[in-house]
Amino acid sequence: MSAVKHRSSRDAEGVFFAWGGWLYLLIGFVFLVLPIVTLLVFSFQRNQYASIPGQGWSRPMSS
Amino acid sequence: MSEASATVPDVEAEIRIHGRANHSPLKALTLVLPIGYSIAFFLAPLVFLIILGFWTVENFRVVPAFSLANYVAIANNMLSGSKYGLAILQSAYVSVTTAALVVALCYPFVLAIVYLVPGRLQRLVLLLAIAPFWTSYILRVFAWQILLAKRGVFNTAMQALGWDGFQQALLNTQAATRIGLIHYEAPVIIVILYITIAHIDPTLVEAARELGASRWQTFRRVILPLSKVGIILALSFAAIISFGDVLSGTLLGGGAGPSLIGAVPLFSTMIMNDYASSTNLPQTSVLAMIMVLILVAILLVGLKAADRAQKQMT
Repeated sequence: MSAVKHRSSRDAEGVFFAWGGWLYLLIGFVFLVLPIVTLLVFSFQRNQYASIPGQGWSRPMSS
Repeated sequence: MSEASATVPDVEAEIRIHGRANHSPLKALTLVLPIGYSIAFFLAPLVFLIILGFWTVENFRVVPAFSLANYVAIANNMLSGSKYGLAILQSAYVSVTTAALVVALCYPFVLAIVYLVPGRLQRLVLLLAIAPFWTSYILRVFAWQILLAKRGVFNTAMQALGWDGFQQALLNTQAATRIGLIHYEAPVIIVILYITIAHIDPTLVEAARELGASRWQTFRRVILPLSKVGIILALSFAAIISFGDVLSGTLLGGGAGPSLIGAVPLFSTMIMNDYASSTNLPQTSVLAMIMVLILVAILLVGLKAADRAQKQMT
């Protein structure tokens, strides 16, 4: 009985580590590709002054 | 006995063959290129930097001489005037904390690659992880400016979601410097740690699990001690890159972000500013020499610690 319980707790631990690991990988990849994706997205933008250093992203200027 | 006598001449013959091969002109020729490259692009500029440090400036002209005036001037400005000493401390603080952070963040990432991703896909995942390294560093820094600015992507997203309390003015702070550095160094550190962790004998991990160790115990008693060398080397490389970096500190950190030791610029930023604004190039080259010496010292300490850890393992 205790062996069964021990095994089930180990399985639960394994599932926790597996899910945690995959989630961490996903967050890591998001962090790694974030600047490249930002550059790609901004390459399609118009009427932005995001390229001015320090200004960042904002809504298009109203004419 | 006969076996032993049969193998000894074989070994001797092998040594003779290799000995002959070592003296072949082809091998000498292949060594010329890397040695010549190192001399031309590493040793010669370094020697010139050392020599330049002894030269003086007269009437805005660099004059060849042998003077210790530049060294004396820098020594006098360590804690007062230009405060080079404080800049070195600031750089040390940023590089040590960044190195610790990047290794702490990359280690679980690599563990997940090695122990969760199927073997046939591991190289592909590793390739994707180091892909950011193929894009220009300065472009990535500009992208981080767009993301971290006061009206940047993060803050605008927080505002759109109604989480105004999470808005942070990260640009021109040391946190932004560290984010830029962590992103820059992560691919290198991931590769170093992957080489270490992927080479841990899987039978040792399996044996620990079979003997009843939990995942945490297996990690703490088997994986962590066996990856100690890789961790030390990764820390050393991260500290070296962080100490010598200029772009993140200047474009993301704003040159002199407030920190524990005050709003003092990083040493690398100070050297760049001195080079751009000063007419005393010999004095700037002495500062660059100090930087090179510090980086070599970090490398030597790291290699020594890694060597010690390797000996403890064996």
